[in-house]
Amino acid sequence: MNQEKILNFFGLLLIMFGVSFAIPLLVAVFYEESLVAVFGSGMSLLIALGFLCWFLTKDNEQELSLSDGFVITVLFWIVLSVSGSIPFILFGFSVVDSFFESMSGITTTGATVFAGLDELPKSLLIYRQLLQWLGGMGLIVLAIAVMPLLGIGGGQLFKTQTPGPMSEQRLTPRITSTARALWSIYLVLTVLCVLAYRFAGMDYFDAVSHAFSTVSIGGFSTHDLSIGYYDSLSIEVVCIVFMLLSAMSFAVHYSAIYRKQVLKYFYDPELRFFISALIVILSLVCLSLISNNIEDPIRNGIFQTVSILTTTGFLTEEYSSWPTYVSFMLLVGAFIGACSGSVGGGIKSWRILIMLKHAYKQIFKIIHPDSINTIKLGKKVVDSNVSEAVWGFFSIYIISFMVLFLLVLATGLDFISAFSAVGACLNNLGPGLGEIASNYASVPSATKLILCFAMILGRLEIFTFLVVLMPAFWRR
Amino acid sequence: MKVVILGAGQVGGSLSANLSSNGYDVTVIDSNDEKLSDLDSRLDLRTVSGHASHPITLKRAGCDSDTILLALTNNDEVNIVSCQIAKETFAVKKTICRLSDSSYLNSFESFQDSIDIPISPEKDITDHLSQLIRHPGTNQIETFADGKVKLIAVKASKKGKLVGKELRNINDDMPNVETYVPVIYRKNKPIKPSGSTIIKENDELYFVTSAENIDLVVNEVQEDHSQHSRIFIVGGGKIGFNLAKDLESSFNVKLVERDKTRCKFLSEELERSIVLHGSGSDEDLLSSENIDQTDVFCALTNDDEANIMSSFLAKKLGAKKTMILVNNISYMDIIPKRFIDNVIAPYRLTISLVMQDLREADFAQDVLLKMHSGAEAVEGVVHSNPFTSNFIGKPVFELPIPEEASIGAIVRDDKIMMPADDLMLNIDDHLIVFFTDKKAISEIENYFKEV
Repeated sequence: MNQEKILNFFGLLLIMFGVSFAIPLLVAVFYEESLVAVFGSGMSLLIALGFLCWFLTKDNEQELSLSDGFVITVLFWIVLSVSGSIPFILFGFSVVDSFFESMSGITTTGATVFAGLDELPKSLLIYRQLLQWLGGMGLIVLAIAVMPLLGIGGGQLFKTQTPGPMSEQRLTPRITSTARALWSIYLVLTVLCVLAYRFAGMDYFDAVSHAFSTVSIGGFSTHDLSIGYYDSLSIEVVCIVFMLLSAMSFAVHYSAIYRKQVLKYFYDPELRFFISALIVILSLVCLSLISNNIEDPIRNGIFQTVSILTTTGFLTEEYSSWPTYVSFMLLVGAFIGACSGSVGGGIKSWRILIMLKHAYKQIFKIIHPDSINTIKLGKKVVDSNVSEAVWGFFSIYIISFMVLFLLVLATGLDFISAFSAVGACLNNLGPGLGEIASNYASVPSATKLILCFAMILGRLEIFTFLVVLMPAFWRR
Repeated sequence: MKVVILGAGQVGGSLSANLSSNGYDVTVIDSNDEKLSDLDSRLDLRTVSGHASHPITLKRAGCDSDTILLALTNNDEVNIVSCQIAKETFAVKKTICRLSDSSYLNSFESFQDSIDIPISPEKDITDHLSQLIRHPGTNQIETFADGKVKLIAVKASKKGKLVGKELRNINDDMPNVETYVPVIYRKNKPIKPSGSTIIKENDELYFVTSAENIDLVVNEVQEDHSQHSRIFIVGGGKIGFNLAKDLESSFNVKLVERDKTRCKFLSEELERSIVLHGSGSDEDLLSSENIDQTDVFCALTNDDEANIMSSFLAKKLGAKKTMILVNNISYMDIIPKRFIDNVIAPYRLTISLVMQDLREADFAQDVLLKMHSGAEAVEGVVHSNPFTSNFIGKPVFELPIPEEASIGAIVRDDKIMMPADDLMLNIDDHLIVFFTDKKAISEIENYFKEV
């Protein structure tokens, strides 16, 4: 363990995070809000603290090791969530609420404890969106460049060839240049999204705010009614397009853009599976809505399915008021989650795909006892220890879900609210059903803390977090 | 002519036997002394022991500017290097190089300077097997004129439309199909047919026709065939693997392989084929995999006896058609035809390929049709020379050709023409000539010599 180097890294991270406060600060100045002091002091505090950490450790020349990767990945979310809650606390929210909101932002979950968003100062609103955008930015790099090295839940599949299931080499030989390439894609997507929203009819403030939370698959909005506030078809279309783009693997985007392999969009097995699952659930949802005489079944059905399956969590409709089996189907669909190397949450499509293929292999083996067959993702052979790891991941995921679900039930939530709250937080989705359909303001503080844990657990693909919690990890 | 053959394995061995009996001065190089002494004792040739790609070995084998080098070891790299050395250091006349790996074949321009003719026996066999499976009812399909003309062998069955009728009736059923029958084998004896020849059951007819009409022609002499759909392959070596890969997109393919590691490789490389671990002669395995529903059973291992026995078993268990590879030519005639429908001598194709390149006349193609009886078909290019000048512009029908030969088709400007009374001979015509005895080939070579 290289504590000094890690401290050094987080020193720099805090400085950068502090610098990013400039955006809400400028907004506060522009709209002449009283929060200038809040962001000003938050910014100086973070930069000072970051500088201190960095200065004390700047002479350390040691390299980071693999076990440092675990610590950094886990600390990344914890440090940012804690320091991200500072402006909320300074503004006057309770510590638990501030931490929940900050965690929900940084993990790009999008669950909010704030009711009455429309009345909040604009600088605070954009700060929430910014948290999601920064969380997404950290995630794409950690998810594509760092986490495969840790080999979590079969993640070693992407290890030798970090980017994604189909390409044969890493994106670039070095993590820093990979990060730069991925960030530029992320940045370009954000800029395009801002322009598209503006063009579709939002004002610049809302366009930027929503672009931040769309591209990061977050789902925070500046309005209580979320995207439904605008009641505009063109805004919904823009939103759907960018949610889908962000739910795709950034490695596929990279190949398409930098290597001119546009066909990867059609041949990536994970993406194909994700899109097919989406289409199946989409049709089921729309059919159910039509048969239940819900208003605008196609438009609402498509938007809500895309928003929840990509684990974004924007709303145009109270989907919790839909027939229970439809809303539960969507919630269960969110477990499938987005693609590997994207900013989405959930179990991730490739794991589900491997599990289905593995199950098919077992059945096939019963029909043809002498057969030898291999699981393949596209042309890539999936080693049997990868499929084992995927099944292991799945069972831990379900066990975690069950344990958290029981805990949340114990804090007094009803069945539907508890089930959906844990599902929505573990999958980094956001809004739930029942009591928490639009916000989490009414749930007890203990529940909020459990849900915070669920969010970070889901974001860290469970194992990363559990590894760091093991005494054996620290003792070796 | 001097020929140096590298490699005394299956390909090199069968080729050296064939060439030495055809009057070539053959030297065989191999590092395995046992194989060499075996060849030495059976055949009239010279053997040199040593590493095939070492210059000193090539020198000892007497490579010079009159030599033709055949690099036929099972190692592509050794073959490539030896061809380079032979070409650069010994300036041999011609190099023929065996390349098994398709990636070498695909980037052949890198070797153009040192290799004159690349050959790939495994690919030829795979293509041949694949064609037979894709055209049910055929016993043999040979390709001429870059794939435009096919020579096919079909056995007449009782229900065939043409059986019991005169050959001239063939165009009544299919007026638009151009076809020509150069020879009919009746009880393994060749007959040169005329329009009034009556087709009998079990006659083996050779047809010359264009590629798209194969199935129509087959239907003339056999009952209607449905397309094959279930293919069972035993042996996952290069040939079995390539065949499965070629067929798996349009057929249900099952592939049996003995070696578990190889099975793993096969299952990784093949998309839709079912890879089975076991032996082709395991009755339980065959019946649990529904051998009785199988349309074609192919035994493609390196072991002749295993191939023969497993197809006996498959036939007994209900496989509709069996096809096997047999390296030992002595087995060819004794294999009972009711158990095995198609016996393929794998290196017959290689020998054909090499032979066409060794001849002095301009043969675009030369195919051995029957390993044992010497039937052969050639595609020759007519050149202007003192001999042909007498015949240019004269009817093709009146050309003086030996008794054992018949002209099957003419390809002119990429068009196929069947021999008719009014067809005149032109320079650059490709003549496809059929021989019942290969000894007659030398008589017809005059048409195709360049000077």
